[in-house]
Amino acid sequence: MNRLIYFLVFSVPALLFIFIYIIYPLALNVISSFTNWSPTSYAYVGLQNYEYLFTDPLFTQSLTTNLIWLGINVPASMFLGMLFALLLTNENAKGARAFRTMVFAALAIPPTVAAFMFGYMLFAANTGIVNALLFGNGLNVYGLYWPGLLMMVLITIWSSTPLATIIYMAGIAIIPRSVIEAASIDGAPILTRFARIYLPLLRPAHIVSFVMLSILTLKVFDVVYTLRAPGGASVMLYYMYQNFSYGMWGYANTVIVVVSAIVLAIAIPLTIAMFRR
Amino acid sequence: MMRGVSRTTAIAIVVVLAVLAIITAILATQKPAPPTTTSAPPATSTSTPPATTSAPPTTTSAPPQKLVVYGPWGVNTPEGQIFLQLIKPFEQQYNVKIEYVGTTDYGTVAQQITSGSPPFDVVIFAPVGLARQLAEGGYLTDLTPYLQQSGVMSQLIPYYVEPVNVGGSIYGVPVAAWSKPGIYVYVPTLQKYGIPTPTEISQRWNWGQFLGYVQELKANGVVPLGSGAADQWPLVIVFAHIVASLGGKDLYYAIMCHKISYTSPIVQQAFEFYLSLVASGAFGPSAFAAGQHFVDVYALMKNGTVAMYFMGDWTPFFNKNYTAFMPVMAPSINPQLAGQYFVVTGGDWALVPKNVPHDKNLAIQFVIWLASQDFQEAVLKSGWRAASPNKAAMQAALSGQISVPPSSKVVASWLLQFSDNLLPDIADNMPPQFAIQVFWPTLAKMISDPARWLDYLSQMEQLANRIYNQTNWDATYPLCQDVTYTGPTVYTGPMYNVTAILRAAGIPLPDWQR
Repeated sequence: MNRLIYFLVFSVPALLFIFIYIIYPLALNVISSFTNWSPTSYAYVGLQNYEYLFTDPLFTQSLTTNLIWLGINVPASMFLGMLFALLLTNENAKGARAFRTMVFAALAIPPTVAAFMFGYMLFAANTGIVNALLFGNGLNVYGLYWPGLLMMVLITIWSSTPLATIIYMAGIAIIPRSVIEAASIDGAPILTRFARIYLPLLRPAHIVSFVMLSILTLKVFDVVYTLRAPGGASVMLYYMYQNFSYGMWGYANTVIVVVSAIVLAIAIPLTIAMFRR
Repeated sequence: MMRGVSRTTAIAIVVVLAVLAIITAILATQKPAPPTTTSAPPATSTSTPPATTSAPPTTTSAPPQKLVVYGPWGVNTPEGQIFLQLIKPFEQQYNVKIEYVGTTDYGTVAQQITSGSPPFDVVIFAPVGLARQLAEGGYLTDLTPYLQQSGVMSQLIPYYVEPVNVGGSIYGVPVAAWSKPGIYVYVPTLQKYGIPTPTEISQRWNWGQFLGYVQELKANGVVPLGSGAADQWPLVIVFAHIVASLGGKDLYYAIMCHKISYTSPIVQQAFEFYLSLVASGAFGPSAFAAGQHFVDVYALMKNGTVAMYFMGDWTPFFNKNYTAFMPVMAPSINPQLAGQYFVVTGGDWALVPKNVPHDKNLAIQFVIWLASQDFQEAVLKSGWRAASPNKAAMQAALSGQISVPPSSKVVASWLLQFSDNLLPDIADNMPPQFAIQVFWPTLAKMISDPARWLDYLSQMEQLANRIYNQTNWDATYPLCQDVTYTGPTVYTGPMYNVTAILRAAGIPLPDWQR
């Protein structure tokens, strides 16, 4: 009996916290997603919202944009993060501290500010330095889908690479030094060391960075909101926000449920795989 | 699991908590009953409504009361600043401190109202469809008795009151009337090239003359038109004036209410006029046009890069220049409508939720005061707006009783002269998800990729069918309930060389025109 009391005293507060802040809001979202909740109505409509959502070209378009974004941002950030981590953990590298500061500075800048920097100071025609120098002010990042999307992807690569770098630096730190030293003594070339030692031994770092970057990318909103979906490159959460703004709260919750399901579908198997190891 | 506590017991506790959380969530998501009013009597009350016109308290020793007001203008923007300045007399007269918060996050504001405990006493609201939903849901205060008792109701122009009239009760007070009267020109640039600035119907350009001036400006290295395309909504002003000039009110309402297909010939022709501007380079290179935010254009006009801009009556105020930024009438297209002019105009409405955190009567007094002749005259004198929902204030401006900026006077005269031809914003009165996610972006896409315009129209038609049906717009939106289109399906008047311009630019024409 005492054990049960201890269990309740120590576990229930934590469980309550999880229920209040995670399960309860999630339950609210899920339940509302089966209603036509708006300022004037709240009635159960069954799967109507889901039927509408899965046949909605605007949602499909947003989902596609999210997936393209994911497909570019995650590998690019992982590759750059790994590259920077290898450079920054190399004891012989000169200026590593300054470079590290530069890389991590990007992590400290909010995405909204980054969006302004990239959107208006670098890529906008007539005010953007990059557009003027490389494209003679002819790059239409606000009017066309691909240039608009790629500009936003570039912003997220810039802001998520430092996160990948930190993860990979932690991964490199736990690789036994004896393995690396033995490879060096044996005269293994850099590429061989990279392919045979770093790449396989960084597997946990790959999984963590993949999961975290995927979640961050699927949750991207602020950059799109700040730049107002340039070229029509909207994403799922921006689409949700717009519906929420019109008072279509039940439908907006349906989008949240679907986005959460997609995020969980990616995160859970990989997390399980990571812990199995 | 912890030693001594069986796995089954632990799981049972967790499951019980989860079920409790879900049940609580289900109970919490039952639609809350609209809050009951806690202060002033309703319209049906036989007692006298509170005396909103009674002499304000003059005591200055008592600590000021507080009202929290949410509005669409950012605190540090020119509009937010002028609003704060203009409400000072109310603060002084009523010994009240108004805490103003600028927000356009209408979804959150609406949820705060429906929660029954909003953090504000008054909200100034632009999306009238959402305001009507809140009124229908019973979350707003019926302001009818207060408007009537104060005498303000009789001064208000019905056009600005009707959108917030739900079942004969008025749930919002129009505090600001904006207008999108046509084109704002930068007079020094036009004067430099000898181009006239017509403000009378008899001087109005036709589309051919307009395109001629576009070419003249281009030849002199000036971009003829600003776009504001990065914000998308300014392009609606261009299209709205084209539709009104081409097909008048009938076509305008038919498109707004989707009573005519986007792929029908006359609608395609309206888009052809729009595209003729793109094709003739009126907006400049596409990257330049697509990247302009609506305020960017003002700087471009002042430095002589851009000459003209389809924009709203806040333009001279934003630039603090009421003679260089002047409105001119949008060009005429259809000769049968040449004697008529259409002004797009609408309002921002002050709403008082049923429950407010501070003194509700004071909140009501404040919104009534905002619609009063005194406040509205102050708005017109400041040049912030050229139009007012208060007829007495408008007449005072036109008769010279109060001094208003020259640019405002022109717009005010059009509003009164063509009072039968006032048009609501075409996009603001579409289902919002269609307007913002489909209509605005399509107009913007046509600036950057005009060759695909026919595909865009087909896609827009499909989405319009879907969204108008889903929202039951026909049956629910008051401005669309009696709309039918019986006008011509094809416009047969002069096309001012528009199709040839499109052909020359490689922009395909619809099959029926090939």
